[in-house]
Amino acid sequence: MTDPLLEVRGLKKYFPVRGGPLRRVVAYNKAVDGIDLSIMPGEIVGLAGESGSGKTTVGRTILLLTKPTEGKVIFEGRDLASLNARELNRTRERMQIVFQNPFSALNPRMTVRTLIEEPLLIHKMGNAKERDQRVRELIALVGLNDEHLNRYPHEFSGGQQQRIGIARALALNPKLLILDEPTSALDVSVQATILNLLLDLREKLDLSYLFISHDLGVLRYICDRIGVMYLGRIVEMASTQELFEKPQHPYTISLLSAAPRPTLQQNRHEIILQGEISQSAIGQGCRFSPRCPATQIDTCKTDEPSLDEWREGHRVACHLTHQNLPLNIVTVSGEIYTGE
Amino acid sequence: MSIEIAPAQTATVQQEHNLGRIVYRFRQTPLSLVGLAMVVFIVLVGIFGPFFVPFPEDTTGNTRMEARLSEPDDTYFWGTDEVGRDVFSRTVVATRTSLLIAVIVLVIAIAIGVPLGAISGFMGGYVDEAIMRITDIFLTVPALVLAMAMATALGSGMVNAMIAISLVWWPGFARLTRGQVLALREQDFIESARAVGASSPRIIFRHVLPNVLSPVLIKASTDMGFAILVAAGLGFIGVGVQPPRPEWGVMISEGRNMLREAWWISVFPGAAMFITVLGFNLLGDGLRDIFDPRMRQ
Repeated sequence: MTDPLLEVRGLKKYFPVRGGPLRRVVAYNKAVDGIDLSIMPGEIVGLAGESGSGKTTVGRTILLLTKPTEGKVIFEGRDLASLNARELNRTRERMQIVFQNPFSALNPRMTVRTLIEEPLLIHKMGNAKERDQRVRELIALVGLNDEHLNRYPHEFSGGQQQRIGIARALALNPKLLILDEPTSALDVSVQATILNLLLDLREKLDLSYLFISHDLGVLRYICDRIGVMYLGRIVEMASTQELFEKPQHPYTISLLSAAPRPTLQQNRHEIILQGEISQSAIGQGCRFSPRCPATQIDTCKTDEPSLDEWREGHRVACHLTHQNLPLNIVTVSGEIYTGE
Repeated sequence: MSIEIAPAQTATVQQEHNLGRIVYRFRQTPLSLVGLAMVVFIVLVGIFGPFFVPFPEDTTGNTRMEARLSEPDDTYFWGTDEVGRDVFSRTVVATRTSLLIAVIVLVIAIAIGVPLGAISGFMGGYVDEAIMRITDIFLTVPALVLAMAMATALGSGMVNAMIAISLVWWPGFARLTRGQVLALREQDFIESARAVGASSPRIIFRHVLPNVLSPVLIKASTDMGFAILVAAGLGFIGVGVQPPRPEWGVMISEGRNMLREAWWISVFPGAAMFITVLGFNLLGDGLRDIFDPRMRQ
């Protein structure tokens, strides 16, 4: 078995919440609260979750755009925390990010050529001629052409802007791309073309992706494995097929049941969650328990469930699953879902 | 308190490269066109006027006692002052002085204020706190008082006056820039630059500053008028430009005792100043409407 390209162990990122007249730290916003994750070479791993689940912070912390509070990020066998500034910069060549809003991710004052060339300049790659060559190569790779190079970002459509963002991210020949909701700002028709571009690029360039999205349909289409996040933790992790066919965690089940379907009828299998995602649920017991639609047991209120293997390649953080108890979730139409 | 966050304006940035659009929007605001015409006229007068005035020697110390206090006529278009100097020649030559003072003051103010504001907004934390408190201190000093103090300590003169005005002018630019940078800092392209390994100086100079340029230029245009006014005020109380070099404030001051007998001595330089300040303000307002509609009050 090959070594993973990226391994994340026990990653935590707490943001201090300041309050009172002295602006002391009164609490922490636990955006990421202990995440384990690995990505194999060539693999596309998805991170699903609603807003506030911390999935974006995971991406940024992996790139060390914000410093993790705790935990390790191991990329190509090296712990990023142990690297000095120069080594970290070298590592960044191999790990890049594509942002959700392509317009805001491109400096409006730079031409497309400058935008794509900038990473090469910063890392002092090649002379002017070689860089020009590379820029042309990249723009072609993402399906645009030389004529587009001298224009400014606002002259392009959202989809084209995202292609430029991808070209910029690919300039340094990375191995891993963190895709932070790369399609959610785009029209549905454009989404598909970007997803296909990403799949093509993976084949051509031997890339791995961490694909962060709230859109389960998109994740299902592109990912090999998916982790579902809730309040800074992964609550379920499985291969895409397994996750969609045998979801085990009550949160995953509710999410899947709520996914929009192309039909006019009301979705009879939908499970409606009570309440909102809230930091106050972190502390005692399972952090999903205040909203959990399943029949809970006492342990749910007292112990935080760990993310354990339920079966080969499928990990779940739920006491009920761990103890082989039925979930007994009631859907909109009154059906009872046991999880079997 | 000094914390003011300028409204985010990045969405309008996208339109700025479109020259045709700028021309079109300019046409839509007739007042800014008037302002532009006035400014162009004044600047031309400032540059070329001194070569064409009828009595250039009157601006360098020549007096003509036999023609003192002449009313405006064919020889002396705007009359003569107490010692017989041609008011028209002096007013025209003074244009260059005023424009020069204002431009230099603003260049210095921008050179100090914009980098400080950018660093302040970008770094945040204690650096931000320290810079903004220093800015506050400079904001509390009135230009007139500082200029008078400097005149007493270092002697009156145009250079000292310019230094005094610049010293109280930069905080405005520092705060404007800081507000813009605070809004920009949240933009993904800053994060993106960091992700590709850009250094902080590179991010500030290549990614942040080019994007705050337009509000700074808009403010500079409006401030031109105010800077001219302050410089004239200093001249008026005698701590600015020194005679015999003509300056509007000095000229108004010289004529103020004879306003009833010889109104032309003060009124013409006053009118020149009025037109200049009005022109720059109209232009500044127009530029703001074009580049940054959200800053409109």
